[in-house]
Amino acid sequence: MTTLAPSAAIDTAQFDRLLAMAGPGVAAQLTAQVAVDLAASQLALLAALDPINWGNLRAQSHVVLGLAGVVGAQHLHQLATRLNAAAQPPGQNAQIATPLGLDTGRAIDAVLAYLADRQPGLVAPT
Amino acid sequence: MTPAAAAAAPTTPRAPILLIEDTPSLLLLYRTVLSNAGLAVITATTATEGMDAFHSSGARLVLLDMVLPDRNGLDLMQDMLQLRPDTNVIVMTAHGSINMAVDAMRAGAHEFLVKPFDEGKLLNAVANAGGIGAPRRGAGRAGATAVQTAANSSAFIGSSDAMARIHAKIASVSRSMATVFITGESGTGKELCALAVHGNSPRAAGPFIALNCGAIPQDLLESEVFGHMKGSFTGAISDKQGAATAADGGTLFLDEICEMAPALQTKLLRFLQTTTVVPVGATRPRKVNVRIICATNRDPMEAVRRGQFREDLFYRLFVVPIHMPALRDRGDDIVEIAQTALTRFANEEGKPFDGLQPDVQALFRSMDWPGNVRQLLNVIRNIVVLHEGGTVTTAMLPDNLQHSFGAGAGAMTAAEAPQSGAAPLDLDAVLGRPLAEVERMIIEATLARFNGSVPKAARVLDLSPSTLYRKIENWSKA
Repeated sequence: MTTLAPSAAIDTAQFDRLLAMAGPGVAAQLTAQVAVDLAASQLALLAALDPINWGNLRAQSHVVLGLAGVVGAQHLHQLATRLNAAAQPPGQNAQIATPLGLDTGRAIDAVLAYLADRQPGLVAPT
Repeated sequence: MTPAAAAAAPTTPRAPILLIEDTPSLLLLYRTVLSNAGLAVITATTATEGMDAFHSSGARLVLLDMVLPDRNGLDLMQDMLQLRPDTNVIVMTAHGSINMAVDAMRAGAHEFLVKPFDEGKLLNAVANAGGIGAPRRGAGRAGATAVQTAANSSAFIGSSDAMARIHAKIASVSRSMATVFITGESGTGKELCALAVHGNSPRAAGPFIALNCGAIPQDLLESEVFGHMKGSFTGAISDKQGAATAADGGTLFLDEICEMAPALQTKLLRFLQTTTVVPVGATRPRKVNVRIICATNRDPMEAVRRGQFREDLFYRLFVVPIHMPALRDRGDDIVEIAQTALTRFANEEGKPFDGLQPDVQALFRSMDWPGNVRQLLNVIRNIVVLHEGGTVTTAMLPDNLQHSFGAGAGAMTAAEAPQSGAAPLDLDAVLGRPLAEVERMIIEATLARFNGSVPKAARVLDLSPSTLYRKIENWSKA
């Protein structure tokens, strides 16, 4: 298990491109919304680990990998992709999914910390 | 529906795009990208809300997340298409749900986007689906005279169950952007099938560009597909547009796809992912809007297993498979095709032929037809050219078929054995000759050994039958 520093959690260049594309009027709103969505998914994802709920794990990892890819959170994207694949039938294995789910949760923490650093006033939901 | 988007809708003549996505930040991002491109967008975060918005907005283009909190996106899409079949649905999914996206394409989705995707991919998919500039699919279908119905795909003669299924599949797949993968033995009409898909599609007015990956030298294939710039290699005396660019707005048909060299497979995969072409020697990519149809007479899965064909490319291409049945499996179609060809060739040659005798029909039905429709057409052509008219009797059949007469259904299969009379090729006879000439000698000797059977000779030579047919055709033109 590794915990990334906030600065390593996101590809800054990709995140900057995302904000530029959104434009100044939407960038702050988008950053805040990404933080809210990631935090909500983190809660739901961790809840789906014990007792394991494959449907929710698939749904939440689907959300996280979509978000992580968009914002340039490559480590989180990799973890969520693996978790999503591990949650697909057949061949679901709790011994693989559970640690992956916990690592994904920690990687979300790192991304939330980065977002809080980037946007003064943004309170990363916990 | 967001009020802002709904308010924007009346200012544009086109119906708004319906965006259904349950993750608020992704919804915000996609809506922003679309709005910045000047498109009217309405949004929904659940399947129920999405269906309501679909009813009320008249949307003909839907961006649909496959994983929704209250319902499977695939089921929702099917309901939408039942209600308004001319709707273009672009499904959005994460990598782990690609199987679902493939199912969606088979069920009529226009295209799928794998998350995460960037602004360019999103706008390109929307443009391809008619959301930017291009006419809507339904509008194109109603107005264009070039568009055929499945029923008048005259290339396909035959009313067997097998062909009825092919007609139905062509009709259902044509309306989508989904890649079609046609398999079948040589001579079964794979290119005609591709033409029918194109002709029935909203792209019918656009170009249909066919490229035989097995007939072009591998070192020229990249240039043929993607084009080249003047001076990019020896012999590139001017800029050349590749097939992918020539097919812009239409369909690119890649025949014998399994013959493609691995390096080019990688470039084709990149092309499919980015929808951009980079001609050999060029530095800037160019965006194109192309539908891909490919075909092979080999078993593509076997090619994947042998490592000759990239697995990721295979899954990218093998979205809607169509298997063309062998002629021997088409029952009375054999006689129907023969009769139609007889009428056509007789008209062309100005000779009064009036049908096939029953014993000829029975023989045709019983034969193996390893060369399929192509072989049958050659037989009929041979009869028309060499005889003056009347009803076709067994005496008019080419010699090799006359031998089959009386031998029964297994006759052609028995011909698998090499003909004992074929003279062996002496090494001294070929040494010192140009390679092209030696190739021709070997091919002709092999054909003689197999009684003229191209498929059998091709098998021994490890070539595709189409390649062999083309070589023979080129020699006859020379």
